[in-house]
Amino acid sequence: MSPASESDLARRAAKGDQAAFAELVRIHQQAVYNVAFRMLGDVHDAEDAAQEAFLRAYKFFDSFDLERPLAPWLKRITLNVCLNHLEAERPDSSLDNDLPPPKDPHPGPEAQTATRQREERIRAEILRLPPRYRAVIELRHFQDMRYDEIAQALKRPLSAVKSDLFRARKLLAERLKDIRGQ
Amino acid sequence: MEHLTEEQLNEYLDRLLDESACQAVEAHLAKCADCRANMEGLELVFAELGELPEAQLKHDLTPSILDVLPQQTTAYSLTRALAAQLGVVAGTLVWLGAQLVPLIQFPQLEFPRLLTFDIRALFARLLSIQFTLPQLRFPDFNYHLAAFDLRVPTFNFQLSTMHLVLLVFSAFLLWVAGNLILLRRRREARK
Repeated sequence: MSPASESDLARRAAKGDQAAFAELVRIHQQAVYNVAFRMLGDVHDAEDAAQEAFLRAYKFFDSFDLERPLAPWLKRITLNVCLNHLEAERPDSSLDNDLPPPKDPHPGPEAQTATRQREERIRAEILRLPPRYRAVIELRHFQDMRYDEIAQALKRPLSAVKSDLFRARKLLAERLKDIRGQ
Repeated sequence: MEHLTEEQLNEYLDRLLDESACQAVEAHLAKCADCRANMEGLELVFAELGELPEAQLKHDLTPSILDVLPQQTTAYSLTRALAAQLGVVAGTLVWLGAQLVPLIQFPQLEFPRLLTFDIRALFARLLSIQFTLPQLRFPDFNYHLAAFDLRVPTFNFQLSTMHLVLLVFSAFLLWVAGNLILLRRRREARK
């Protein structure tokens, strides 16, 4: 979709045009869902988070600069929704702590090809990272943000963001080294 | 031999180093097996994350999102048109007030000695600006057709300031009533 037509839809949605907003949801729901799924690892949780992200976007549309692309803003909202969800789920632990391996997000008898197993393994290792590390990996590797943009999005100092990112990558490198050659 | 720092390795892979720094890193990697191993580990992470495919959404989320969207009440944001209307209303009210107030006789109030003053005098002072319009006269009409000896009746029409005040006030009341009716109809349509 061209930026001009998306901007037009966003402008109409900001004025309360629900049909325009519905069209924006259809365009961006796949990307928003993927942010949530990478962060939460569960299909239903990811759908709920995506829904909540869109509802928040609808509520705060009038504070959004309609000349800017919508996707990065929606993804940031989704990330914040996911971090809030993770914090609420585990109130006694901080967002820094490592998590146990998540349950299989796709339970059921499915033929597990080698490629599929590899993908599941990588997703599982991402989900094992503490939520804060997961967030920096998501923003750097899947949303292509610079270090300073990540710091602004997470409202954290640049040095802390770099430290989290480098640490997260190191953890993934250690846990994925056996995947080499598969 | 000093090894490369985490920051150097990561920023090299993130392509944030300038040319001379890149060359320094590459020169070190050529000589240091430990740093090469660390770099390969990071390169694997970059590659695996970069190749991770998107998960497919099983169904359209749009209907469920639309179901819980708050019902839109009339968004009453201060647009330019609304600001202009409000300005006209405020100006009309001030002008009407200025026309009507001098006509109203205020009773003289008795105040304690120290504060004795005439309310009417106070208002007269406050509204010392006169808002009077010249009287309007429409031209006389006289049309005479010689052949038929017809005469269109003439009429003199004079508008005093008070007539204009009443006309504007009536139009204002009609405008308010019209907007209230429209607003009520819109709310009923949305229920």
